[in-house]
Amino acid sequence: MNDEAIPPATPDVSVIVPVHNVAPWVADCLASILSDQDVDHEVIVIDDASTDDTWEVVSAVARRDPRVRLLRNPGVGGADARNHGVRLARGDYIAFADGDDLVPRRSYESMLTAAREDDADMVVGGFLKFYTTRTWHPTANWPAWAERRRATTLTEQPSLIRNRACWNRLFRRDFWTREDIRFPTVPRSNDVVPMTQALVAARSISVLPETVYLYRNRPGATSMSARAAGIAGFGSYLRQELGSSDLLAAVGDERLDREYERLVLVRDGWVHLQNFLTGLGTVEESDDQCAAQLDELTDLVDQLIARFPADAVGRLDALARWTWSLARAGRWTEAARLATEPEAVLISDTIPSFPSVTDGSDAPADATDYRRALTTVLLRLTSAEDTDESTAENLAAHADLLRRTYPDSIRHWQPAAVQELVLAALTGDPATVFAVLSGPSLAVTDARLSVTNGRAALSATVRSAEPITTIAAGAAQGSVWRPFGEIDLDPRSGLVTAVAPVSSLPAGRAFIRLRLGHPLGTIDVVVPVAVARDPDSARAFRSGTNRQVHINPGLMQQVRTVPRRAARAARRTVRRMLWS
Amino acid sequence: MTDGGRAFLVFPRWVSNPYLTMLYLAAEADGWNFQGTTSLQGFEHHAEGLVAGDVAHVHWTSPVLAGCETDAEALARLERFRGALAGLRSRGAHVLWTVHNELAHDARFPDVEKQIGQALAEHATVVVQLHEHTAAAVSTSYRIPPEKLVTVRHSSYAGVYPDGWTTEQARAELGVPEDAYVVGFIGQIRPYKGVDVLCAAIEAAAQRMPDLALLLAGRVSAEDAPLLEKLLPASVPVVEHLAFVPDEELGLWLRATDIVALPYQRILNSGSALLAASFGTPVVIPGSSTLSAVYEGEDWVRTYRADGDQAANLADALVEARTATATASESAARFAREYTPWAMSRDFLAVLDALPAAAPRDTPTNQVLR
Repeated sequence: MNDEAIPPATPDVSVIVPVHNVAPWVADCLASILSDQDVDHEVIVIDDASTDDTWEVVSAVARRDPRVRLLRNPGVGGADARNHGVRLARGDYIAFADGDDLVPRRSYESMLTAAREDDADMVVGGFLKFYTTRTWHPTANWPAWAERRRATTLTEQPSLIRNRACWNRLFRRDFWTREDIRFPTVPRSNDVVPMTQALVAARSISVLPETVYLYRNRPGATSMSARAAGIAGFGSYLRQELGSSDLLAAVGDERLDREYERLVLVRDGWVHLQNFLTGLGTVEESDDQCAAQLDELTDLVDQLIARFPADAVGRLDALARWTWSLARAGRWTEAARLATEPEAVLISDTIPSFPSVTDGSDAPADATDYRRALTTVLLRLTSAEDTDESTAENLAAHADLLRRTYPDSIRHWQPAAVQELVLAALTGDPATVFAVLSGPSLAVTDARLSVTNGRAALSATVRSAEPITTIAAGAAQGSVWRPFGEIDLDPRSGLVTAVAPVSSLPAGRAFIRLRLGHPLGTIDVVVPVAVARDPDSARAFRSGTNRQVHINPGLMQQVRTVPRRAARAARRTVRRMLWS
Repeated sequence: MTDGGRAFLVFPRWVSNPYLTMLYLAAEADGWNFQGTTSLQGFEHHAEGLVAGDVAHVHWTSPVLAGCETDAEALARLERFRGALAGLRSRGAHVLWTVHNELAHDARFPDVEKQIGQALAEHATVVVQLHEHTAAAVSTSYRIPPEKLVTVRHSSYAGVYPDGWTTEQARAELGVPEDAYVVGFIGQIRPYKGVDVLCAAIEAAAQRMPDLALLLAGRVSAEDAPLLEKLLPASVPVVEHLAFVPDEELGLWLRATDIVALPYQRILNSGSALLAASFGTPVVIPGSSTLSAVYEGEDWVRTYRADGDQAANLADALVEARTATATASESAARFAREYTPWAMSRDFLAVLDALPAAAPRDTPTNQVLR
């Protein structure tokens, strides 16, 4: 801790930290906020009725560092705590942090610099989420965060609406108070409305691609019963979303509306819906109180979906479309079953029916939708940690259904693991299916093409290669198949290597395929390849979209035999032809 | 915080233990772009893309020779690995190496393993040790140039896993007698690598502690399961979960435990001991192990003599530990809070900060000591 720190009279930044039972994490949180930040800041910690050692831990920090103020929440809940912190803040800028998270070094300095450069009302930065063995980086692929944005707005960068957390930001305090932004006291999602309000109102937003916040993902534990918490929480989220929708509707920007539609139906709203359904279980018809609460949820879902164009749900992929439709129709038990046991719903004696998006009446699932949904579900089954015997039995008992759904011409476009599972199911033997489900799933990874001396070398790793008996590799273009030779598979490491003269491969777009001989049948799989970076490889191959590779087999070699100036001209021409 | 996005390759990037995620958190936040692989082929492939100033960080070296059946194969793998390291250095990319293991006692190709360590010591810009006793412990296998050595301690796992149980709640959930003195073993169970000693020790200690109970949680292979059944002590309650323990449940098992036994002879570092401490649970380890030197003087680490009748010695240690449970538990919790995962990741980021812009391109190949 900095023994020489004295509280600045008017700090540049006030960091507001509401805390509730965060004793295991708050010392690190405060250490990260207080050190390596290079700004004049104060830290206002508001304790919301903690029953563990949070107060003692923070008190010890505050005793050593006068930049930290610790107070008790005069209200109840995190929203009141944050609002109270804002009232006490003295800084020109305010920021929020949760007591179990971490702030990377120089975060506040970067945000403050940007705020001043851009005369910004708000600065938004990137963030990481972390939990035990994983980190994930939501903002890494969102358009607004692709580069440093100066003095932008929500309508200019509509993808900003995807992030409504309050903690990866810096706000000008007079902007916050002028707009009268407050956190509402609701059970869940209390930053949705205030952050939407701030994004809509801000005349100037700075966006920083770099990580300014580390969010610690903690599996939730609540004192309410799981179901009650689920219903209250989901209802709270839906109401806040309706409030957010009102604010955005007033902006009236088409790109923003489309972003928001996806935010609700595919991102945040979908995650909330799935989490709710997973915790719901089966609703007893006799439970009147629960039924009344669920009716309320049905109404809220209906209101929310009604805000979107009529075809919004229709444009979703099948599983999402069916789930939202069931929720909107108040068929919660079915929706929960689809969320938690989709394989049991899809693999049955009759094709399942779902409410149509046009008039809500039940219609059997369309064949293409059904197959795509089933593939998603089967892929999840192959990578699931636990295997249910009843799942294996169900698959084996419906071999005919799977045969009809995956004829040969369709099956070889599916992932290797799905092909293996389908072949197992076609045997009709539950033990075979169980063995495939519980074993490691088949996959082809790390595929690479390179060129040396006019020969193309393919390498890849087949994961769980032990059952593979034969192997072939080739470039497939329509009905044309040009094989690779000298193929070798090491069953222990799974390393596959093969070579082919580049001139023997088909020109243009093709798929690289592996044909794996498996005791259950042939698994013929498309392999997306990475191309080596050396000039020869880059001349011969280029990765394309949809797992395709562009092949340039022979022209370069022919060009080498003619005079240099003509060769250069020919190369330019060829490049224009092939790479356009 | 964004440094232009330098690349950071991790090998092997095993993900079942959060240690690597914890170690790299501050660096990832600072803008390093992480990629990882678990195979030698993957390492070669990814290494090709690294340029000056990038980092390849090697941890456990077992994947280099994994699956080799003959000396010729092992030597071929060694050459590939050396080639990849040399290639990295020639492009100015840094090699970092963290020494996690002493050379395995029953290594199949011990000479080649030594050469792997020597190659790493030679090509690394920095060699990371988790404590000051590492260089001595590995000195019979290879020499680490002292000027390359830095220490980044293994932190506790404080705050990483859910920890929502009191001892009473945890025991109720697992069916462990409330007032028992519970000895725990959590981790992969290999009957003849220490669990046999533990079971015999429990049998012996039970005569002096009638309320003793054993808790066993972790994966055991299909071949080993019947062997384990034969070893289990008959005279005390045994609560077992012979499968992988998910992250969300580690705390449940550790909170139910009074002391964790780690009867391994040859481990250099112990995430398991630190994991136990993170839940306020003391540990008992062999007195001859490197770990006993690392943790000398710590109240939460008890040792037993590993020579002579190990089971009897461990039994004695368990009986003595009983009288000091509360103090040891507080000591463990305090130790865990002192060096947290975030502190470790910040210290590791400082190691990266100190790296020169590019790795020195000339490797002193004529100075390799065998």
